[in-house]
Amino acid sequence: MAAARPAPSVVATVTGLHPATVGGMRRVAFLLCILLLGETASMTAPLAVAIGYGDGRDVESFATTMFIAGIVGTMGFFLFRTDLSSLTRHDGIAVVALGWLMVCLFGSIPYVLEGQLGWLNAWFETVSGFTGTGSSVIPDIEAMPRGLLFWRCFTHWLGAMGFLVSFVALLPLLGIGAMQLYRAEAPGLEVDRLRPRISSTARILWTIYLTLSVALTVLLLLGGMDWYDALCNMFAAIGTGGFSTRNTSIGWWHSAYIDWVIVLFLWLSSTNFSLYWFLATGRPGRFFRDAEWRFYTGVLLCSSLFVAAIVWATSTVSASAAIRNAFFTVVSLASTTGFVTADYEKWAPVTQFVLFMLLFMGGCAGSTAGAMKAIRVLLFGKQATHEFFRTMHPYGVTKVRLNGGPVTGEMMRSVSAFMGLYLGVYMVSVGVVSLTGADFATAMSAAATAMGGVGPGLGDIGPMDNFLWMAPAAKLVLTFDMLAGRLELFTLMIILTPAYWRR
Amino acid sequence: MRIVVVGTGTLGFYVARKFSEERHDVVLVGEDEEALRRAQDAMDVGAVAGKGSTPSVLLDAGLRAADILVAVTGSDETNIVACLIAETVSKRIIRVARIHDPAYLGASGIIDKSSLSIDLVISPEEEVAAAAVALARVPGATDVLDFAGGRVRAVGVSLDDDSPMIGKPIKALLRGDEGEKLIVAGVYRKEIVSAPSADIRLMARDTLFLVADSDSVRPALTRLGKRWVRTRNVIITGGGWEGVSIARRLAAEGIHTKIIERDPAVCERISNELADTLVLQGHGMDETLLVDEGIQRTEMTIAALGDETANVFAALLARRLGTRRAAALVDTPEYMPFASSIGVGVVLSPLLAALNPITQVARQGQVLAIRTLRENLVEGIEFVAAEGSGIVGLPLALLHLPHGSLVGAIVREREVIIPRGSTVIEAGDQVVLFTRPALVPRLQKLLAPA
Repeated sequence: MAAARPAPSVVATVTGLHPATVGGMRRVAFLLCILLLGETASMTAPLAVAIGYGDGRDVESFATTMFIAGIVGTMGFFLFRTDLSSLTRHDGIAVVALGWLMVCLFGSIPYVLEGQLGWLNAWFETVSGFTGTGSSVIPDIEAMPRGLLFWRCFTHWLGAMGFLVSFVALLPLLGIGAMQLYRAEAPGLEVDRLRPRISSTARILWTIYLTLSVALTVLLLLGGMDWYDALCNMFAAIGTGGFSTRNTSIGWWHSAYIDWVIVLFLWLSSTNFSLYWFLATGRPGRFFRDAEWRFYTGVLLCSSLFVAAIVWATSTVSASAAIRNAFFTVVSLASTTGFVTADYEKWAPVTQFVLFMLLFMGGCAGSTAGAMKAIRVLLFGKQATHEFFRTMHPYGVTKVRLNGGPVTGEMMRSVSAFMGLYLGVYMVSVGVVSLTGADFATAMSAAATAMGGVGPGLGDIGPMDNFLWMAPAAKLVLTFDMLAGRLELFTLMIILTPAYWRR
Repeated sequence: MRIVVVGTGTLGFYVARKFSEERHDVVLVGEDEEALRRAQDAMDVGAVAGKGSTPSVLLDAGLRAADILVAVTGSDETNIVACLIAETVSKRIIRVARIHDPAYLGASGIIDKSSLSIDLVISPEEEVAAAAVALARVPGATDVLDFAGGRVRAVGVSLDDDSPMIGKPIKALLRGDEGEKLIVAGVYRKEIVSAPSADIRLMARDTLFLVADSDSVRPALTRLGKRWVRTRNVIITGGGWEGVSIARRLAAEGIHTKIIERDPAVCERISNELADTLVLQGHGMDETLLVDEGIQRTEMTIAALGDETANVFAALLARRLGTRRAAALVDTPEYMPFASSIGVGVVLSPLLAALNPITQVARQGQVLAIRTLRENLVEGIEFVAAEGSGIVGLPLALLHLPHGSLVGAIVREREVIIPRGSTVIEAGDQVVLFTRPALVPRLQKLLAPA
């Protein structure tokens, strides 16, 4: 209201752009710089680990990256410093989309400087980390320096909550702009407001996230992991990422306790975080009667039991091992994590079909899990059955209902649009990956696993393989899929449309 | 604080935005889902769809944990029921309701404030009528805000082309015995500069916002080249709620008031209500009628038709026909700077005026009054300086008030002090502080009691 109107800037004069556009670009640039400084600060953790272990060249690579990012961020911070309260939706989309690209770009520098990975592979690994995917191009993980491995898992944990959601929780100066960022980064179906202010909501979600993280770390320590393994695997589990510290993933520990603890926490982290708030505020009914949660949990149970039965019937393993491995694999893939304890490619083909389908569904909305989200699948199914009903009673005045209330037409439309776009992007990606020479099962599962942020797939990218052999074009497409899937398609894809830039 | 706002009309939006900007937790309740969506696009508030007089809807909106309920729907009955529900849920909740119809608050004794369980009754009509009376008392001003029971005034003055102060810096105005009794709280030239530097040179059509004790206002206006012509005649166009309230208050001041209303039935009714006002049946834009009723001799006209764009045109017409001051009722903040720039002298906003007492409810410390200038550009806060609070005991120059704020006046035991940098505020002083609304959250800490 009373803020001084800035004089038409030099940029506006030189480029001939409308000052409002330039103002928006300035706000975007300023936020990106804050974001970069945030990333720099978060690199102190892997740097400390690298110094502590001193087992590679990663100390230098983190220090150099932090120096570069710190300089760029600080210079930009003072150069672009501006009032953020007038952030528009347009700006919010740009910040989120460009912010993710930038964070991944800077996040890949330590891998490159360390020397074992080239630019493209480092980019793939970082995108896979921040988006919580967990597909790797590193054949021998245990040969990597520990600081770098820590960073690899830490990116899962940082990316899972969303950088900008974290900002919204921490920076009060955003005002109404906070919501634009929140919407663009955590689009979901609608913003579940636990408290009227978006920043309070974000803080509550962060508290839930931290609580889960601490609880899992303690349980993993009790299970015999050392601090380093416990933290790294916790990052990957709570962030539903899937990078581990061992070549054989969680299977390395051969511990039923660790397996079941991980299964429990994968399930917890792929549950809508808002539900925990209802639980904490004494409304357990809202938790246990939630339609999406029931549907998701039901799918997990049925799939696990089915897979366990098939595995037990078609192989020589004991019933308890079959149940344990089936639950672990199903929950790991459905929660879009991608930890493995068993080579599911050796199981009967029908189990692989079930697992492949789970790559698409993903966890609940409002969790750290990716893919389509259980609620969309549920609503899509409900809509289909509703059409049967409409055919029987053409004059019936009815609505699809969810949790007792009617689902608005607008929400149904957004679900259909999302599903359509998801499948569209999926098919194009499968096509491109096939073109580079991958076989059919590999291409089909690679695109699904990338878009869903799961990690391993089938064929040549199964649980015991990695993505190193893939052609550069395939890697680029898959990283795009990971980012697009993580940002629920629209935020990333909208900046690729000419209409976004035309105004 | 947690605040539930019932009503998605313009006032509901203003209230929600104001509280949200002051970092309170706001939940907006209303039946219009489209309006709720627009609200959430524009401000950081929660929204609950439903009727504001339904208990379950209010509970959904978090009424149990709420500190304040503001019911400002267009329906008095809904507002009253919402307050009753709030009282049933918790006695602790401060209940604010907008009441349109004065009959609810009449002297009947049965339906008075306490039995309706409303802590604060908001009436935009009464607020704007009070603003009109304050304006009538200061000829030549475009804005008049009264503080400390009228002993301190903040006055907006638009400089005419022939004003003797043009080209001179503000400090020239502050010299001399009379200048000592003044402070310039803001200068408006395209946009507002609050707490301006004394070196700014004045230009024609600048609007100066002066703060002075009420006796010093007249000499100050005279020095700025304004003629002091007492307001004796006022014509009001529009006999709606606002027009009638304004007419009643002005007539009580002994001003000759005429009110023009188009609808004969309404004329009939309001002429029964308004004993001292001449009710004229006719079109408010009828030039012949206006000239016949002596518009060129009126000191002020007030356009209070139902439509704010019509008000702007009615005010422009009145200006052209020779009235001294033309005021228009405008409630959309975006229109306000534009209305004054095309020549409507005074812009009055019933809704923004009604916002101030509501805002006051949520403030910490002992706030006596809040008054805002124009479209909420500058906020004047009158409060009692608390023992141990940050502003007591230091010379003003050393206080480090946020840039854009200043202390405009201090009332100490009936004496009005217009402060300078060396003035020290004492505990118990009534202080009038001017600031930009955006700075209020920062100032709260300074003003709160230790």
